[in-house]
Amino acid sequence: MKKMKWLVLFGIVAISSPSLAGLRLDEPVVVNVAIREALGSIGSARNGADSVQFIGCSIEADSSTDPLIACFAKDETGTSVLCTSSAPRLVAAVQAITSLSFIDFQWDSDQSCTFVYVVNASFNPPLAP
Amino acid sequence: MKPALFSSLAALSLALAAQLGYSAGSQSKVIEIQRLLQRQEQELQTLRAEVTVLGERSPSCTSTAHAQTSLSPEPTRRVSPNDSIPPPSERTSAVIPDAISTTSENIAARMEASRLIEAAASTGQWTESDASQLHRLFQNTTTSDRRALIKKLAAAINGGTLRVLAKGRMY
Repeated sequence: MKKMKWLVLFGIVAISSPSLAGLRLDEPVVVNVAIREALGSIGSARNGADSVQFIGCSIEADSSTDPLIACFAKDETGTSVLCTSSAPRLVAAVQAITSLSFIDFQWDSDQSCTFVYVVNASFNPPLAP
Repeated sequence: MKPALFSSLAALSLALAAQLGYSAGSQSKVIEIQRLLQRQEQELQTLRAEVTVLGERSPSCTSTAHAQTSLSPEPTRRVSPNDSIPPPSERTSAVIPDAISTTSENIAARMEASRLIEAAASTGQWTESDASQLHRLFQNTTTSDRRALIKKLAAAINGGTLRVLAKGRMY
Protein backbone atom coordinates (compact mmCIF):
# COMPACT_ATOMS: atom_id res chain seq x y z
CA MET A 1 0.00 0.00 0.00
CA LYS A 2 2.86 2.34 0.92
CA LYS A 3 4.62 1.50 -2.35
CA MET A 4 1.49 2.25 -4.32
CA LYS A 5 1.20 5.63 -2.59
CA TRP A 6 4.78 6.52 -3.63
CA LEU A 7 4.19 5.43 -7.21
CA VAL A 8 1.07 7.60 -7.46
CA LEU A 9 2.94 10.56 -5.98
CA PHE A 10 5.85 10.08 -8.42
CA GLY A 11 3.39 9.89 -11.31
CA ILE A 12 1.71 13.12 -10.29
CA VAL A 13 5.08 14.93 -9.99
CA ALA A 14 6.28 13.61 -13.33
CA ILE A 15 3.12 14.71 -15.14
CA SER A 16 2.93 18.16 -13.57
CA SER A 17 6.64 19.08 -13.98
CA PRO A 18 7.48 21.34 -16.94
CA SER A 19 9.85 19.81 -19.49
CA LEU A 20 13.38 21.11 -18.86
CA ALA A 21 14.54 21.55 -22.45
CA GLY A 22 15.89 25.11 -22.27
CA LEU A 23 14.92 28.12 -24.34
CA ARG A 24 14.01 27.59 -27.99
CA LEU A 25 13.52 30.45 -30.40
CA ASP A 26 11.77 30.02 -33.69
CA GLU A 27 13.08 32.49 -36.27
CA PRO A 28 11.65 31.82 -39.72
CA VAL A 29 13.20 33.54 -42.72
CA VAL A 30 12.26 37.19 -43.11
CA VAL A 31 13.32 39.07 -46.24
CA ASN A 32 13.01 42.84 -46.34
CA VAL A 33 14.03 44.09 -49.77
CA ALA A 34 13.22 47.71 -48.90
CA ILE A 35 15.92 47.86 -46.25
CA ARG A 36 18.04 45.20 -47.95
CA GLU A 37 18.09 42.72 -45.09
CA ALA A 38 17.36 39.02 -44.68
CA LEU A 39 17.42 37.01 -41.46
CA GLY A 40 16.37 33.74 -39.93
CA SER A 41 17.74 30.64 -38.32
CA ILE A 42 18.82 27.67 -40.36
CA GLY A 43 16.89 25.27 -38.11
CA SER A 44 13.64 27.28 -38.26
CA ALA A 45 13.86 27.56 -42.04
CA ARG A 46 14.45 23.85 -42.39
CA ASN A 47 11.74 22.88 -39.88
CA GLY A 48 9.16 25.32 -41.26
CA ALA A 49 5.77 23.99 -42.33
CA ASP A 50 6.29 25.31 -45.87
CA SER A 51 8.80 23.78 -48.23
CA VAL A 52 9.86 27.14 -49.60
CA GLN A 53 11.99 29.13 -47.16
CA PHE A 54 15.69 28.78 -46.77
CA ILE A 55 18.68 30.86 -45.68
CA GLY A 56 22.41 30.32 -45.89
CA CYS A 57 25.76 31.45 -47.16
CA SER A 58 28.32 29.83 -49.41
CA ILE A 59 32.06 30.28 -49.52
CA GLU A 60 34.48 29.40 -52.26
CA ALA A 61 38.23 29.70 -52.42
CA ASP A 62 41.12 28.73 -54.64
CA SER A 63 44.87 28.93 -54.28
CA SER A 64 45.38 32.26 -56.00
CA THR A 65 42.50 34.57 -55.13
CA ASP A 66 40.63 35.80 -52.09
CA PRO A 67 37.67 33.71 -50.91
CA LEU A 68 34.28 34.72 -52.27
CA ILE A 69 31.13 34.46 -50.20
CA ALA A 70 27.49 34.62 -51.20
CA CYS A 71 24.55 34.86 -48.83
CA PHE A 72 21.06 33.94 -49.97
CA ALA A 73 17.59 33.63 -48.54
CA LYS A 74 14.02 32.96 -49.57
CA ASP A 75 11.03 33.61 -47.35
CA GLU A 76 7.80 31.62 -47.26
CA THR A 77 6.20 33.92 -49.84
CA GLY A 78 8.99 33.14 -52.30
CA THR A 79 10.85 36.45 -52.13
CA SER A 80 14.48 35.65 -52.77
CA VAL A 81 17.65 37.65 -52.23
CA LEU A 82 21.32 37.16 -52.90
CA CYS A 83 24.52 39.12 -52.22
CA THR A 84 28.23 38.52 -52.54
CA SER A 85 31.51 39.77 -51.10
CA SER A 86 35.21 39.04 -50.67
CA ALA A 87 35.66 41.26 -47.62
CA PRO A 88 37.82 39.25 -45.18
CA ARG A 89 35.70 40.16 -42.16
CA LEU A 90 32.52 38.97 -43.84
CA VAL A 91 34.31 35.84 -45.03
CA ALA A 92 35.31 35.14 -41.41
CA ALA A 93 31.71 35.63 -40.24
CA VAL A 94 30.39 33.23 -42.86
CA GLN A 95 32.96 30.66 -41.81
CA ALA A 96 31.36 30.66 -38.36
CA ILE A 97 27.98 29.47 -39.65
CA THR A 98 26.79 26.04 -38.49
CA SER A 99 23.48 24.19 -38.63
CA LEU A 100 22.64 25.86 -35.28
CA SER A 101 23.12 29.37 -36.64
CA PHE A 102 20.87 32.36 -36.82
CA ILE A 103 21.94 34.50 -39.78
CA ASP A 104 21.25 38.13 -40.53
CA PHE A 105 22.77 39.70 -43.62
CA GLN A 106 22.49 43.02 -45.40
CA TRP A 107 23.60 44.27 -48.79
CA ASP A 108 24.06 47.52 -50.68
CA SER A 109 22.75 48.82 -54.00
CA ASP A 110 25.65 47.07 -55.76
CA GLN A 111 24.45 43.70 -54.36
CA SER A 112 27.58 43.48 -52.21
CA CYS A 113 27.05 41.99 -48.78
CA THR A 114 27.79 44.68 -46.23
CA PHE A 115 26.95 42.93 -42.97
CA VAL A 116 26.79 39.33 -41.78
CA TYR A 117 25.62 38.54 -38.26
CA VAL A 118 25.86 34.97 -37.00
CA VAL A 119 24.54 33.65 -33.68
CA ASN A 120 25.39 30.10 -32.73
CA ALA A 121 23.35 29.36 -29.65
CA SER A 122 21.40 26.64 -27.90
CA PHE A 123 18.13 28.51 -28.36
CA ASN A 124 18.36 28.16 -32.13
CA PRO A 125 16.40 25.10 -33.16
CA PRO A 126 18.36 22.13 -34.45
CA LEU A 127 17.67 20.66 -37.86
CA ALA A 128 14.79 18.22 -37.82
CA PRO A 129 15.09 15.28 -40.17
CA MET B 1 79.30 88.83 -10.70
CA LYS B 2 81.22 85.64 -11.48
CA PRO B 3 78.37 83.25 -10.62
CA ALA B 4 76.04 85.25 -12.89
CA LEU B 5 78.55 85.04 -15.76
CA PHE B 6 78.99 81.31 -15.22
CA SER B 7 75.28 80.68 -15.13
CA SER B 8 74.65 82.66 -18.33
CA LEU B 9 77.52 80.79 -20.03
CA ALA B 10 76.01 77.48 -18.90
CA ALA B 11 72.59 78.50 -20.23
CA LEU B 12 74.14 79.43 -23.57
CA SER B 13 75.97 76.09 -23.78
CA LEU B 14 72.78 74.22 -23.03
CA ALA B 15 70.87 76.13 -25.70
CA LEU B 16 73.63 75.44 -28.24
CA ALA B 17 73.70 71.74 -27.35
CA ALA B 18 69.93 71.53 -27.70
CA GLN B 19 70.08 73.29 -31.07
CA LEU B 20 72.78 70.91 -32.32
CA GLY B 21 70.82 67.92 -31.10
CA TYR B 22 67.71 69.17 -32.90
CA SER B 23 69.57 69.67 -36.18
CA ALA B 24 71.18 66.25 -35.84
CA GLY B 25 67.72 64.76 -35.28
CA SER B 26 66.30 66.61 -38.29
CA GLN B 27 69.20 65.47 -40.45
CA SER B 28 68.70 61.84 -39.47
CA LYS B 29 65.01 62.19 -40.30
CA VAL B 30 65.83 63.64 -43.70
CA ILE B 31 68.22 60.76 -44.39
CA GLU B 32 65.58 58.30 -43.31
CA ILE B 33 63.02 59.89 -45.64
CA GLN B 34 65.51 59.87 -48.49
CA ARG B 35 66.15 56.15 -47.91
CA LEU B 36 62.42 55.48 -47.88
CA LEU B 37 61.97 57.39 -51.13
CA GLN B 38 64.83 55.44 -52.71
CA ARG B 39 63.31 52.15 -51.60
CA GLN B 40 59.91 53.17 -52.98
CA GLU B 41 61.51 54.18 -56.27
CA GLN B 42 63.19 50.77 -56.50
CA GLU B 43 59.89 49.00 -55.76
CA LEU B 44 58.17 51.10 -58.39
CA GLN B 45 60.79 50.18 -60.97
CA THR B 46 60.40 46.48 -60.11
CA LEU B 47 56.64 46.73 -60.48
CA ARG B 48 56.98 48.58 -63.80
CA ALA B 49 59.30 45.82 -65.10
CA GLU B 50 56.87 43.17 -63.90
CA VAL B 51 53.91 44.82 -65.63
CA THR B 52 55.93 45.20 -68.85
CA VAL B 53 56.88 41.49 -68.81
CA LEU B 54 53.29 40.43 -68.17
CA GLY B 55 51.99 42.82 -70.82
CA GLU B 56 54.35 41.32 -73.40
CA ARG B 57 53.32 37.80 -72.48
CA SER B 58 49.56 38.34 -72.71
CA PRO B 59 48.89 41.48 -74.74
CA SER B 60 45.26 40.46 -75.36
CA CYS B 61 44.53 40.66 -71.64
CA THR B 62 45.86 44.11 -70.95
CA SER B 63 42.54 45.68 -71.85
CA THR B 64 39.36 44.24 -70.41
CA ALA B 65 37.23 45.85 -73.11
CA HIS B 66 39.39 44.28 -75.79
CA ALA B 67 39.27 40.89 -74.05
CA GLN B 68 35.49 41.01 -73.92
CA THR B 69 35.03 41.71 -77.59
CA SER B 70 37.63 39.47 -79.16
CA LEU B 71 38.38 35.84 -78.50
CA SER B 72 41.89 34.77 -79.32
CA PRO B 73 41.94 31.53 -81.35
CA GLU B 74 44.44 29.89 -79.02
CA PRO B 75 43.97 29.87 -75.28
CA THR B 76 46.29 32.25 -73.48
CA ARG B 77 48.27 30.27 -70.95
CA ARG B 78 48.21 31.23 -67.30
CA VAL B 79 51.23 33.24 -66.28
CA SER B 80 53.17 31.55 -63.54
CA PRO B 81 53.87 33.86 -60.60
CA ASN B 82 57.54 32.78 -60.64
CA ASP B 83 58.04 33.20 -64.38
CA SER B 84 60.73 35.87 -64.98
CA ILE B 85 59.26 37.86 -62.17
CA PRO B 86 61.15 38.95 -59.06
CA PRO B 87 61.09 36.36 -56.24
CA PRO B 88 58.09 36.44 -53.85
CA SER B 89 60.14 38.20 -51.17
CA GLU B 90 60.51 41.22 -53.47
CA ARG B 91 56.91 41.15 -54.63
CA THR B 92 54.22 43.10 -52.85
CA SER B 93 51.71 40.26 -53.28
CA ALA B 94 51.91 36.67 -54.53
CA VAL B 95 48.29 36.79 -55.70
CA ILE B 96 47.90 36.87 -59.48
CA PRO B 97 45.37 39.48 -60.58
CA ASP B 98 42.44 37.93 -62.45
CA ALA B 99 42.86 40.32 -65.37
CA ILE B 100 46.29 38.83 -66.00
CA SER B 101 45.37 35.17 -65.53
CA THR B 102 42.24 35.30 -67.72
CA THR B 103 42.18 32.76 -70.54
CA SER B 104 39.95 32.56 -73.61
CA GLU B 105 38.10 29.73 -71.82
CA ASN B 106 37.43 32.09 -68.93
CA ILE B 107 36.14 34.76 -71.30
CA ALA B 108 33.88 32.33 -73.16
CA ALA B 109 32.44 30.99 -69.90
CA ARG B 110 31.88 34.50 -68.57
CA MET B 111 30.06 35.56 -71.72
CA GLU B 112 27.90 32.43 -71.73
CA ALA B 113 27.06 32.88 -68.06
CA SER B 114 26.18 36.51 -68.66
CA ARG B 115 23.88 35.53 -71.55
CA LEU B 116 22.29 32.84 -69.37
CA ILE B 117 21.40 35.40 -66.69
CA GLU B 118 20.08 37.86 -69.29
CA ALA B 119 17.95 35.17 -70.95
CA ALA B 120 16.52 34.13 -67.58
CA ALA B 121 15.80 37.75 -66.68
CA SER B 122 13.84 38.14 -69.91
CA THR B 123 11.65 35.16 -68.95
CA GLY B 124 11.50 36.28 -65.31
CA GLN B 125 12.37 32.86 -63.94
CA TRP B 126 15.53 31.32 -62.54
CA THR B 127 15.09 27.58 -62.85
CA GLU B 128 17.05 24.65 -61.47
CA SER B 129 18.42 24.08 -64.94
CA ASP B 130 19.68 27.70 -65.03
CA ALA B 131 21.23 27.24 -61.60
CA SER B 132 23.09 24.08 -62.52
CA GLN B 133 24.19 25.57 -65.86
CA LEU B 134 25.59 28.63 -64.11
CA HIS B 135 27.33 26.41 -61.58
CA ARG B 136 28.97 24.49 -64.44
CA LEU B 137 30.05 27.71 -66.18
CA PHE B 138 31.44 29.09 -62.93
CA GLN B 139 34.05 26.33 -62.97
CA ASN B 140 35.74 28.07 -65.90
CA THR B 141 35.49 31.64 -64.69
CA THR B 142 37.81 33.72 -62.57
CA THR B 143 36.83 34.79 -59.07
CA SER B 144 36.33 38.41 -60.11
CA ASP B 145 34.14 37.30 -63.01
CA ARG B 146 32.08 35.12 -60.66
CA ARG B 147 31.70 38.06 -58.31
CA ALA B 148 30.46 40.23 -61.18
CA LEU B 149 28.12 37.50 -62.43
CA ILE B 150 26.69 36.85 -58.95
CA LYS B 151 26.06 40.60 -58.66
CA LYS B 152 24.29 40.56 -62.01
CA LEU B 153 22.12 37.64 -60.90
CA ALA B 154 21.55 39.27 -57.51
CA ALA B 155 20.50 42.55 -59.12
CA ALA B 156 17.80 40.71 -61.08
CA ILE B 157 16.67 38.63 -58.08
CA ASN B 158 16.80 41.41 -55.48
CA GLY B 159 15.11 43.81 -57.89
CA GLY B 160 12.23 41.38 -58.32
CA THR B 161 12.65 40.87 -62.07
CA LEU B 162 13.83 37.29 -61.59
CA ARG B 163 11.78 34.85 -59.53
CA VAL B 164 13.79 31.97 -58.13
CA LEU B 165 12.14 28.67 -58.95
CA ALA B 166 15.30 26.68 -58.31
CA LYS B 167 15.10 24.75 -55.08
CA GLY B 168 18.19 25.13 -52.97
CA ARG B 169 21.34 26.67 -54.40
CA MET B 170 20.89 29.52 -56.83
CA TYR B 171 23.97 28.46 -58.81
